[in-house]
Amino acid sequence: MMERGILIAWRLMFRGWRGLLVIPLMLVVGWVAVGGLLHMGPRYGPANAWDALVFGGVTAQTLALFVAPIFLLATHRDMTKAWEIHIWIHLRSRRIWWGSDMIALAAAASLYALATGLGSLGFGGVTLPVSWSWSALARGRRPVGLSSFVATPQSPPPLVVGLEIVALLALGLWLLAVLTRTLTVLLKSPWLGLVLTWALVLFQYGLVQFGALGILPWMPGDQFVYLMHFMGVGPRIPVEWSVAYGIAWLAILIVVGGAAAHRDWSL
Amino acid sequence: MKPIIEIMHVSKRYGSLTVLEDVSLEIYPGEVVGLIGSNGAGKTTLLRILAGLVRPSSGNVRLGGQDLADDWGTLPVSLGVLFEPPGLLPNLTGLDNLLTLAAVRGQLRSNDVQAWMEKVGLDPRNRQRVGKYSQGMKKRLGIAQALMENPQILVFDEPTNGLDPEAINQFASWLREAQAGGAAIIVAGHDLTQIARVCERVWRVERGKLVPTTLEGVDPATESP
Repeated sequence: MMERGILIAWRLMFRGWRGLLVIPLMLVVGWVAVGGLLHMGPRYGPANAWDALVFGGVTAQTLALFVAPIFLLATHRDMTKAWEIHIWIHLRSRRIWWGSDMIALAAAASLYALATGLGSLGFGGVTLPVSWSWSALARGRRPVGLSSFVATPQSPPPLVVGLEIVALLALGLWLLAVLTRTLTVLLKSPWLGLVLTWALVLFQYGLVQFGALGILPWMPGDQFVYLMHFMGVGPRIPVEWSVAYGIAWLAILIVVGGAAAHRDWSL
Repeated sequence: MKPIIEIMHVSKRYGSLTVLEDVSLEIYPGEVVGLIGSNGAGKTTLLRILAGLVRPSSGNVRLGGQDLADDWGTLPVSLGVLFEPPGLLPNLTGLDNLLTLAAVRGQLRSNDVQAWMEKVGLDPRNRQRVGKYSQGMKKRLGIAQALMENPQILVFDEPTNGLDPEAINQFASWLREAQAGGAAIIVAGHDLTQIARVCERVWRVERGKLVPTTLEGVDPATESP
């Protein structure tokens, strides 16, 4: 039954116009990524397509302003609706009902992270030279302020870094989506979970922008942006920390939300 | 024959308010039981407890011989439910609503689902969204989603609200079919006079207690076989 639950959860998330939101997301992120590079490029040297992904597409800004809200809206599912009773009665298990939604969210987060990466890479590929190596821009940047990743001869190839960027973003998006769902069932409110989760992402983004770097390791959001682990100022958070943080919170939220989903159900 | 539904000394309290008090009832496969009572009498609460939506404050509910409290949130038998409101997706067509639910168990093909729509008097080709349906059409669709997979237990809360007299008669005949297929059926409402003919037993819910009763033209409530 779990596989059928996942299929239904997927259908309910992406039905209608919300299933198409991934397209404008790819366009916006790609546009922002290349625009940022054109602005940055002359200072450091010629860029290539990878730079659009590494430096422009998945940033704290694109996550807070575009990727997180569009992803949360696209995957929104009001688990408090009377309709959901039919779903879990047909599944004959609230545990499967909740668990299959969590798995479907993981798949959706992976899809959106991949789409964000491909949107950046696609725009980069159209407007910049395509290469399998790091560009002069990536090698020539200096560690100044936030997001100071510099490619060195010891750095992994851009494809590997690109995959790490996408995987870390997928974990972060999954965490945000599970937080949204858990708040939805805890508060029994159709939209409050989504609004509160996005507000949290914006709040931590604002704090970091205003220099409160100490909160970075402790809040969801920027720490799922690969570049934020290579800052020129403030604490350096290991990528492993963010992975562990994300997994720990996912486990807590899935258990808490699952318990809330087993409460009495008012229509 | 063993009862498929066993409600044993069930009480439900919300704070100081007692909604159900020491209710016991057994229902056998192929039996139709009616519950009548005024608003707030506790009918809907009893049905919600039966469907595993609400935990009783005390007492036990067994479905198919298994206590719901043993694995809360898991239903040991298949259920079809219709509550008020019917709980349909307003942005989908009637057919898409049923197809989505049918996909959960994967027992029915598209043709079967369309046949169920036609059976309850709805046109499966109608592309109108359910949000635009009349109350009677929503109720017919809700009945179809409850019946279409031949569940072992059927729970109907106010099923005839919004239905015209012809549809109420049809509903009674659909219940008979489900009954002949072995389903245990429990129907609650304010006025079940027209469908009480298909009920073997009718109970009045009064201040949280079950009282055996009769309706006009209906045999007196009798003990279970």
